[in-house]
Amino acid sequence: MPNIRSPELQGAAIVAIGAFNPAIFQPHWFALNQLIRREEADSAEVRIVSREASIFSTDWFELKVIDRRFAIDTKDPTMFRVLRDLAIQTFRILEHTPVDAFGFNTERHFRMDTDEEWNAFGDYYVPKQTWNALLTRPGMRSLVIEGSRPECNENRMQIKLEPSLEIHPGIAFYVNQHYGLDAKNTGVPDRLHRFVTALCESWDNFLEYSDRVSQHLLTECATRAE
Amino acid sequence: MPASLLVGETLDAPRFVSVGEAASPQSNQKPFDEPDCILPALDRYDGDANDSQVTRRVSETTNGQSRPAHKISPLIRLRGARPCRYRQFCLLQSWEGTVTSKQGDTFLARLVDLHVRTNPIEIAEIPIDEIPVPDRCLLALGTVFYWSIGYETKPGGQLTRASEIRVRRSPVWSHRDIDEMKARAKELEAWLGYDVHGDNEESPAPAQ
Amino acid sequence: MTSTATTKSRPPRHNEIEISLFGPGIGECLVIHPGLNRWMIVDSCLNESRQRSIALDYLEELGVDASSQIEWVLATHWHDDHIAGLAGIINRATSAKFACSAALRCREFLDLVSIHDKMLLVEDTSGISEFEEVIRILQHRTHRHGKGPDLWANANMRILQNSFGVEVWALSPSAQSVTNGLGEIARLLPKPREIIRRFPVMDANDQSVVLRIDSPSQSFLLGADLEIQADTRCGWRAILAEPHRVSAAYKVAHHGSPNADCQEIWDRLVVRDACALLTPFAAGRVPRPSDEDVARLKRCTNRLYCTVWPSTKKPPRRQGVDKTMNEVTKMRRAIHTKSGHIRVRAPLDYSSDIQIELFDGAKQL
Repeated sequence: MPNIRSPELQGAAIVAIGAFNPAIFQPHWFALNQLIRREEADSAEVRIVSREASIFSTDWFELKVIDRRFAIDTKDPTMFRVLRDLAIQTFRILEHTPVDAFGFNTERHFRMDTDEEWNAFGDYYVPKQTWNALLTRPGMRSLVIEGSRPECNENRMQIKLEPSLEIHPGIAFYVNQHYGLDAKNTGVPDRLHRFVTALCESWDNFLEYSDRVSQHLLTECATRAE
Repeated sequence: MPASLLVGETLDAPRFVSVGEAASPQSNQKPFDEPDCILPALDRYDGDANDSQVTRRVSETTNGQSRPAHKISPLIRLRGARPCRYRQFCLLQSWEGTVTSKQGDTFLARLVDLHVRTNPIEIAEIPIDEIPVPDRCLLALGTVFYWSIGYETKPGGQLTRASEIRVRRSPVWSHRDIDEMKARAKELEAWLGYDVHGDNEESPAPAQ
Repeated sequence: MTSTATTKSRPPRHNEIEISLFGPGIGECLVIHPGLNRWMIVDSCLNESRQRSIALDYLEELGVDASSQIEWVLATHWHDDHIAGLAGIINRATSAKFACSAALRCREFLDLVSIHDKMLLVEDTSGISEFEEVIRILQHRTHRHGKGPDLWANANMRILQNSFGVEVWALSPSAQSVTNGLGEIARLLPKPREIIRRFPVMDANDQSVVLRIDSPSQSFLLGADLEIQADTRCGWRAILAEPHRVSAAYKVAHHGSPNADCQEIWDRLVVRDACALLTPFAAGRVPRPSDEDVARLKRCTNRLYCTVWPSTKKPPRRQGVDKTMNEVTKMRRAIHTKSGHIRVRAPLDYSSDIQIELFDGAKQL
């Protein structure tokens, strides 16, 4: 029975699509509103803060608000819940923000023991026999599967497998859980409430699901190999 | 289109090949960054000290003819979205704690195991010194914190055991929050159908 | 005296009184049968899986129909360890009446309950959210137009009376305690610019509801979490200021804590060598009952029973983590999740010794 692997690198992100005012999202705005430490705001690396875009990073998260897209992400697995808290409290304060859709995202990178094991993984999920007639040395570059989860009625799931760009030989799993908010028929306060409620109630479950995804896909391949 | 992370991709990125074949010869190379993202010229650049460097670079590129920097709108070139801030942390255990009492230089906390939810709740007495200095002013009854334990691999390869506590940050009650609370309380009082300080319908009899 | 699973699921006879006490490391619940196959639930705690109230599990085991046979649900006070899962009981017990302490009958408490929506991510540790859920359920009951709790219990109030002559009386809170409670609740209310936090445990014990169940032949005293106060108009002193029937069994107040105990209770409110029932509280700085508490209580009675003993247990082992945890913490202990069960039964129509049964790890100390 294959052992459960631990990811070598992990990341999580919360993305929202809507109408934002990027100029608001400055490190010291977050600190003044008690959302991050003042020291984190002071040491933040600001790339830009303007009417069109805001991008800055602290030692544990990066914020990007560009046009209609808000994204915060962290590459520190100890901060996944803190990231969720940050999003919740930010939008509790910005309670009139029109949000039209949002998504939860994780990435997990696993190191394989050998190149052979690494190639076997790709070959298991995308057998190359069909492609050998068309290409020389075909290789899976990316595999994307969409679907839904029984536990989450109103969203779409997307699972992506790729060779990891961070470690080699490594496999990266990207899981996205997307929520549409029916902007035509639902008012701004209700949509925002839905966003914040989903963060409160579903974020932990999403993280657990993402973990299950990678473990299941790795285990399935390894079991067959045995 | 799902709202997903940007992932840099190029044709030279590693790819899985069939079992038995050698891995791509370029698979050990780091792929290129994704193409630079160039924003349109901005009316106002709320930048930092690099502002002057940006304008100087722009002025140098205009066919070798220097133009007064103040007449050139700043052009912002952003590097690719490839994050290089991964923290290599093997998380062994994490808790969510709530401060239940404070006494002297320690506090008592109720800990909920975030890894194995069926594990029992634990009570722990923790020295305040374990709380990061910027978070200590937040410590009060009811304060929530996260506690993570694991192993961290530093960029140079050094492995260290880590125990980190971080206090959850919350915004403050606003006047609007308080007003809404009172409005809802008034609704409840009206629903109760009588003055909250009024009498019971049952008449009490003296106990014996 | 420990009993088997088959006897546990035997329901009481219609002319038999039963008081069942449950209590894991945190939480307490009383399931009372005052006769005639009708039931009363006092406080609530969760079962081992923390999914629903242990009272509902037990009644289901006895074959009791929660929707028709539960007559009263009472919350002695609003500490989270006494009402976890209460909303679930109210939801199932659709024909039950609901009672709570008169100290909660104030605008300030309604203010607190109304805050819940604003306190996202607050979980588990505040009775406020449970109460808010209870009120929401009551509001939606179509046959209860404009009704809140059916009874705001205070001293010298009869809650229940049946044809066997069984009466359930509230002995507290006193009028002064109710007044004091208003100020204490008001102090919990948030103020603008204050950081949003989980509600701390309020010192609500002074407002808790002590009950006495009187059958024609004997009485049973249920002490809730009432404490001894300096003010003789409050707490146990207010109760002791008046004459009362003596009880054959006593649910010891406040988990055996010394601030809820005095010799007068044993001398004047309970019989000599009464059956004393305890639940532990392991979440405080000193787990209750402590060894000193047990020694003190055993000077008052030889028949002392606790739902779980010892009151705490060692934390589960975690490889690679225990060493770090022990370096960081000065003390660490785990709370029992599984509740023991002490059951008291006695016939209603004639006088006899009460029968004590112990299940699921409950012990005589």
